[in-house]
Amino acid sequence: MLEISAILTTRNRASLLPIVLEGLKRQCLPSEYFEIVAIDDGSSDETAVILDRARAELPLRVLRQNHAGLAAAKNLGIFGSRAPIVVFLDDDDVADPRLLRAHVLAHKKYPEPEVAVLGYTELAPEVGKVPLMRHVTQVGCQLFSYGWIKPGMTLDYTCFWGGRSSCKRGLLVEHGIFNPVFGFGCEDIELGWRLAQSRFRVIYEPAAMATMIRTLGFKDFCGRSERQGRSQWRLAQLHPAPAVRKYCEIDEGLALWADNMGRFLEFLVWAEKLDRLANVREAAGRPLDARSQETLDQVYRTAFKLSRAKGIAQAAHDQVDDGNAEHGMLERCRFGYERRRPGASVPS
Amino acid sequence: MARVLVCGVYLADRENLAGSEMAELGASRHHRVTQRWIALDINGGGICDLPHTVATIKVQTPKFTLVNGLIEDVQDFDRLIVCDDDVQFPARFLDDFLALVVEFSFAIAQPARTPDSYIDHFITTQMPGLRGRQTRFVEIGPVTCIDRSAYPVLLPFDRRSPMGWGLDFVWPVLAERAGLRMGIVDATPIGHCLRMAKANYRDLPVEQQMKVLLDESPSLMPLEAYTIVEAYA
Repeated sequence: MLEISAILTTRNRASLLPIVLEGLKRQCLPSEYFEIVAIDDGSSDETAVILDRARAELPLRVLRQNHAGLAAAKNLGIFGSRAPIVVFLDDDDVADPRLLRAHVLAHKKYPEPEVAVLGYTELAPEVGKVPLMRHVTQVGCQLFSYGWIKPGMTLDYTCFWGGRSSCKRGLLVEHGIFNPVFGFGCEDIELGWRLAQSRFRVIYEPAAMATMIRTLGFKDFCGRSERQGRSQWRLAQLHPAPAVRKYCEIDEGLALWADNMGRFLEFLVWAEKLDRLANVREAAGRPLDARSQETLDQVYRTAFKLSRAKGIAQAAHDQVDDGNAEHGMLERCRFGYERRRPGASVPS
Repeated sequence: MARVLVCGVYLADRENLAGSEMAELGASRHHRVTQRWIALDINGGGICDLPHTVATIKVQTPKFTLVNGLIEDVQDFDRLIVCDDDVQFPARFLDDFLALVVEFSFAIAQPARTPDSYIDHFITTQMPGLRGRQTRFVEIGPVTCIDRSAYPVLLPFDRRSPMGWGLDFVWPVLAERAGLRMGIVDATPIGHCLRMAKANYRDLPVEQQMKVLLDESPSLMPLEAYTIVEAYA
């Protein structure tokens, strides 16, 4: 009997998928208890071939969509799943053999419909050596922020992190799915915020572990931060509550961009050189001394914060340019606002 | 060219979109469309003379009771479309929608709802990366399309729940037993923004009727029904 559906959303990661799928083949949980629902979000590389081939060795279903973004892909995965628990997996994380079992056991321990489970993600050793990756997971914590969380801790909606969380399928299909407006970033927190109105909470289970095997470069992470900023603006527009605006750092971001946009590009050029230097030294076995490391961390922090601020400011600017079109659309969007009675068919 | 029967009910004494719906559905270039609409004018004084109006009813009467009265000759048509009066269609709706219904071999189908619509079941929300999907759920409104192959299974509509509540959890069982496919078409989404669902039927015993229907009929639980079987990009 199926216990858990693993929703693996992917796009143009054919080079990593075989390793990711290998991790899923090694699960302790017997294969009759789980299924993998892979959503191919319009890949143009060898993703389709790799997924089709893996069906021979895994309980794997593949659903394809034209590129529509992460939220839409996850929604397709939710409705394509058949198990009572769904876990969202990233296509650059390799599951530990205990991952699926740990999620299932955690949900057995916390059977309440509104309880989700957050797993742990570590960096692969070679990835963890890269100065930027070390920074975004251990110092600045822009990617993960596990240092402060204790096993079994109850967390709020801001820890419903995509790619490493599970929840009851029924909670989503009856009470709220991802808003497809969010192509990248914040789709998880936005859903968590809506579900939080119904006592939604997250339990941390570090035994549900995965390993990130992809290294992000400096430019990648700046671009990612900018997209994140855009999504933060959208989230704050959609839910104009002070707590959301603060979480999204809207006021701080707008002020920061206004003060620094003139120096932004010059700063990024310098920061990238520093990042390159740190990488070269690390590769040569001569890492930066403590003082230089401190400087590098400060530079990373500023670069990523400014990139997020740029995304926030540009989204705000675009909204004005579009005659508030996006704002209007978001305001009208009734995604999950009304509490619905499960099972009721309601003619108008 | 298919022969399509459109049956609808409009609330004559309320703001509605029936007139523009009739115009859009009637503009089909690929199908021969016959429309039959009933004006429901409970409070009197409503506008009851829209084109294709075949009757005006002055007493509160459930939707599917009215529709059952319009489909005695349904066998003369290849498809039946049941339509509410608060739907915004995209241009060329009927031709584009039916082309995909045929391509996906859906015997029971509906268009997805735009994300800014009032949504009763999340699975009916438009999925932007898809043209359509085979599902285990098609809702009873605002637009439901039934192929001739499903007439023996679904028609006349079950009188135990004349407003239709719960039928959409019974239909998948009936369809699967008959080997018929059902699904949602995403490429032709409709807007459903005029009124919140349920707004006009507070006085009817719909929940009790639904309970009787679901108690007496084989049906899917919501979690089973809210399932995508196959996706079409």
